[in-house]
Amino acid sequence: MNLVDLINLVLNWAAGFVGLQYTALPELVRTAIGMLIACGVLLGYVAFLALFFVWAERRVAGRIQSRQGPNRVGPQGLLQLVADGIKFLIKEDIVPATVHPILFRAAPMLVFMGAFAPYVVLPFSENLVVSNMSLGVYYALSFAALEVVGVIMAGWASNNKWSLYGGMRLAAQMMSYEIPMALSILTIVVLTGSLRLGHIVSDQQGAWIFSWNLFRGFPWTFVAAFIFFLAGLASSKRTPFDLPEAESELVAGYHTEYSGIRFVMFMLAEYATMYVISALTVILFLGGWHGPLPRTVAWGGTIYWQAGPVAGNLIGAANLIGKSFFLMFVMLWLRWTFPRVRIDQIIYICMKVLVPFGIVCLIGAAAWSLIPWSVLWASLGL
Amino acid sequence: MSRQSTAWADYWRILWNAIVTAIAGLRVTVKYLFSRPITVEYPDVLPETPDGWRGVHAFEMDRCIVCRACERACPIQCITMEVEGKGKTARLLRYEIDYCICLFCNLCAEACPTACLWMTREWDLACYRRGDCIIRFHERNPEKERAKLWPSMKTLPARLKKTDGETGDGAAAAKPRPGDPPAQPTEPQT
Repeated sequence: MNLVDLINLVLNWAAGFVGLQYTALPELVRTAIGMLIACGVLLGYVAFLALFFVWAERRVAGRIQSRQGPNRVGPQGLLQLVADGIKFLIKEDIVPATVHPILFRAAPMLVFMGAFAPYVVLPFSENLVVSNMSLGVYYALSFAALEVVGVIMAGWASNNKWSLYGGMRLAAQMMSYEIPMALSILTIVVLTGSLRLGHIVSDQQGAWIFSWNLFRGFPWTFVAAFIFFLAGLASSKRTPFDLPEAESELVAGYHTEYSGIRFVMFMLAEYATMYVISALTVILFLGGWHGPLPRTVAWGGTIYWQAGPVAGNLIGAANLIGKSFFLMFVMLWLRWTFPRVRIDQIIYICMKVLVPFGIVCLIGAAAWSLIPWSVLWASLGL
Repeated sequence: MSRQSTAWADYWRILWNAIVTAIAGLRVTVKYLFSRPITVEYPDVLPETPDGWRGVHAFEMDRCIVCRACERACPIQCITMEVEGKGKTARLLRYEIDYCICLFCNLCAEACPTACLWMTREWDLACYRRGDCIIRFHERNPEKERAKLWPSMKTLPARLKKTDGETGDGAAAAKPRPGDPPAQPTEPQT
């Protein structure tokens, strides 16, 4: 059972109230309706994330720099982002005369598509997932590559040297950082034996936080978690690695020529990617929807509180969202701590640090998965 | 071999430095994140000026002995006095300070023998016309202003209270010297 089935269940239940027969509709139509609603829910979630984290980023930046941050519009400045959103929406949609008309318009959509598509496989909890497909990790990674295409497209179509520089930098950076990212994911895949994100998470169920992948394959997965997070930071173009939009060198990088709603799509895509990276880090390494307390069954309840399927799913989703929000905060924290690295330093970090460590982690994890731990513990009398 | 081992050591040194300095940087920023911001929401919260702040003057006309020490001490002649009579019978008709050119150097307050001129913590001098920058102290009612215009100036400074009984001592110095230029009353543009 996944999110689409859940939505159809709810619709069926709601149709019963108005005296309609929801199941009279053909299966295909019901699935399509469920998918559309799921898509709307996720889009709303992404929009909320972007709004909330733009606000959080400005507040955190203010406090780190001993300022107050925006706090005049609405309580604690929360309405500032609504005001900004309205401003972006009513701005003139400028398409410069010399840009490539089709690619210029298509690029932000492609970037946002690449950032939004991984939400399909993100399991918020056991059942709150649109599709628990068997190639979940692979799917998420391949759609991250779509973003590169969109950004290069934006850089080239803008007919602006700064945009092109930004696009080329992003290509160099993201292509090279996909290697350590894939290596660190493979570390988990080797330990778990599955590419299905739901399976990877349910495999981490157990006692306290020590059943999380972060500690389960201790030295290897612990290092791999940092590799994954750093590589994800680089592929979401966040500040220590924000060369593609380096505002002090290139005007604004690949989105120099964009304004209004098209710029918003780039911004939404950036925050959506940040959240995907945070959520994937949580799912792969930090126990996904499992809380820090041990749970006896997957979503039935814990030894601390007995929860039904509804409450179990909600608690799981709260766990995952809480942990990924913490990682988002870490991203903001990193952004306002570190200066931008040079392009040679970026490649150094990737090729000379992350890739060799990733390979070592992969080999180590593979060796660990060969050790029959249960037999070992039994022979030690544990 | 030795060259290789140096590169190998360099690699680990760089990596170790990166980790250590990254953690050090993150500790600094997280400390600031959870400390109070030093900026204030200005129109709602007024900044606190420190002790010894040299702001707008306060002038107590009743205690002034018209010695003109402040006028002489002023390095840029921003104090304008108009005096009627001489010596002990001198009467102050006009006392103006032009804050367009005032340096806030405190030399006038230091020169005052009766401590009837001192600098307050008041700093808000923004105005729309140049003439508004000239404060005509002879028209001011200090008691009223302390309550109304200068909220930070609630009480008289300790220095003033201490010299309360010495008002007569400065009378000898009040004589204007013969070489002094006569007071040039300027017409404030209001």
